[in-house]
Amino acid sequence: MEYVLSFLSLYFLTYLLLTYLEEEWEEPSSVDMPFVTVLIPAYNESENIKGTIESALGIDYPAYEVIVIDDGSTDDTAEKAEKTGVLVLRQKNAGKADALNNGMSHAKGEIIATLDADSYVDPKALRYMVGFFKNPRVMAVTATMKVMEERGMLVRMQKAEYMINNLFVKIFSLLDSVIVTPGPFSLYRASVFKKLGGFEGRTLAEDNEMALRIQSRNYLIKSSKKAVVYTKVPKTLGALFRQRKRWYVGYIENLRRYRGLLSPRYGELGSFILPVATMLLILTLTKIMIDTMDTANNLFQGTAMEESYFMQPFQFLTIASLTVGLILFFISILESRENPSISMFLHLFLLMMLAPIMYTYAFLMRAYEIITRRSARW
Amino acid sequence: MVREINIKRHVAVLAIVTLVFIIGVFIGMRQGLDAVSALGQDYESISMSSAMMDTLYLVEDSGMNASESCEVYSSLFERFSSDISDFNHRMWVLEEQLGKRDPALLSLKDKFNTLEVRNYLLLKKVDRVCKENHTVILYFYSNKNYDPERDQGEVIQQVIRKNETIVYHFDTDIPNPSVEMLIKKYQVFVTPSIVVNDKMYSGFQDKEALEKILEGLEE
Repeated sequence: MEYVLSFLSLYFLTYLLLTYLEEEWEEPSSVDMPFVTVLIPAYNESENIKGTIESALGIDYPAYEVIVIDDGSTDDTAEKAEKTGVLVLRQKNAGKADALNNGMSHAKGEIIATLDADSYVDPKALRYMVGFFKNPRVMAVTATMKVMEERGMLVRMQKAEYMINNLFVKIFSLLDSVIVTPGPFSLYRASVFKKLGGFEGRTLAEDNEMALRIQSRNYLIKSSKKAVVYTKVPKTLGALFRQRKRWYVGYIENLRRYRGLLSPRYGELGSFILPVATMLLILTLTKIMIDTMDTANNLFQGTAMEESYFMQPFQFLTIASLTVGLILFFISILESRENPSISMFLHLFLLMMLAPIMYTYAFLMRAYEIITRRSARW
Repeated sequence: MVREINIKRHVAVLAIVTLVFIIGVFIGMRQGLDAVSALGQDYESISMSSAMMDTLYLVEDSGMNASESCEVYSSLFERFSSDISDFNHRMWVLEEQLGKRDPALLSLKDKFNTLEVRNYLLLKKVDRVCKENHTVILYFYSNKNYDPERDQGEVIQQVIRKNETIVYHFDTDIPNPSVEMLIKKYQVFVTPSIVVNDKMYSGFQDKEALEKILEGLEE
């Protein structure tokens, strides 16, 4: 299994690197400025809502509206939103998907932008993103996500992770293989919701579900390097673990639903990106379980751990894939226009150490929920 | 809309990854050769130490008082038993990686088996002359019927107190007259088998059984 895992990792990362080096990046400009509705779903975001709305109102774009949908907040989120003068829709608590669908039913825009209530959008974002809709097959456009805060080890670890994720999303965009339209800020052609239906409430990751739904109909999702949204990230391990559980479990459940995407019909997405990414996730989880059991067995029996006096080929493949990964990370730092520093690599390394624990936690918790027949919780 | 797959790029990446794999194989092979070579040097070093201890035979035959050298030989044997244990462990790790039929390892093991037999006989002499009573385990095994669930070598390592017990490992698959002499002497018909202080225990001895055997020696 180590051979398969290390081979696939190296193959995947090398392919992404070659794609980045070979393909030319285009950010189409737009003369047309279609009307945009910015939807801000909010639940108990009293601390953040004013800043988010102000960033939305500060967008440099000639034709747009802002609608806040208060999803039954128990604090003064709705009142604070109303004071800013934007349209505020109030509803009973029903979840983010319902809130967005509610907002869409009041939207006038040809383009719908979704903005999380704890995120701030860059003023030029809309101008950079709408140009992609010149291609009639483009149904959604994502922005570059950056972490808002700087303080805290956990925040810096996620900042490093977001940098490399942004690069991966750009490369996926070149391969027409974007599989998430992130909640912090994404644009959709309004007509896609008429064709495909609104956001799905029964999933843990509605942004991933919508993206896979769009892809399954052979539409395109693009990503803008220039458009930026700043978002808050979990500051505690507990909050981070809960977030990642939602993401990982949501991804697998959505992929099961859209398993028809695993087909050469969908080009690189169906024949390479999705299958390989999924296999890597499954193999990593399996390896973690096996290694944990081996270690526990060795400790119980008092036997020595496996030794080696020389490198196995799979270890060489692993070193090579780590090297390619580091090169990609270095590129992502430059793309983010940050100054590379040793601490960034250290933070990414720490997050990579944490990742297997988060995967294991996510799937064990989901297994527990399935066994005890509890519905999945955020 | 037809979505394209960039076959050329996939072929290029496959070629790169395969090349990396092949380089890894070559590096591993090179390191394997170096590891066997290092083990061979260890054998030479242990062989030299053993040759020094052989002089006890000559001392006794020459009429000199061999018991005056007892302290020296005791400390040499302690070091030697540690060297044997390390050597066998490293041999085992390399066998796991290179395979139990690797010719270079088999040749080294053959020479080492002979060295162990020589050293075992010398130890019996030291115990007699110096009136000592080392606990000695002769472990006879075969790789043909190796069962990882019944790894006698592993059980021995778990149970023994390393400073007090000397363990000699003999691979019965390798034709070696010295080892065959011991097999005949102790009537070893089945592998794994152990001989503990001249008493034969046929077949696999689990942890409990081995602990009882060693406790019985203390009484």
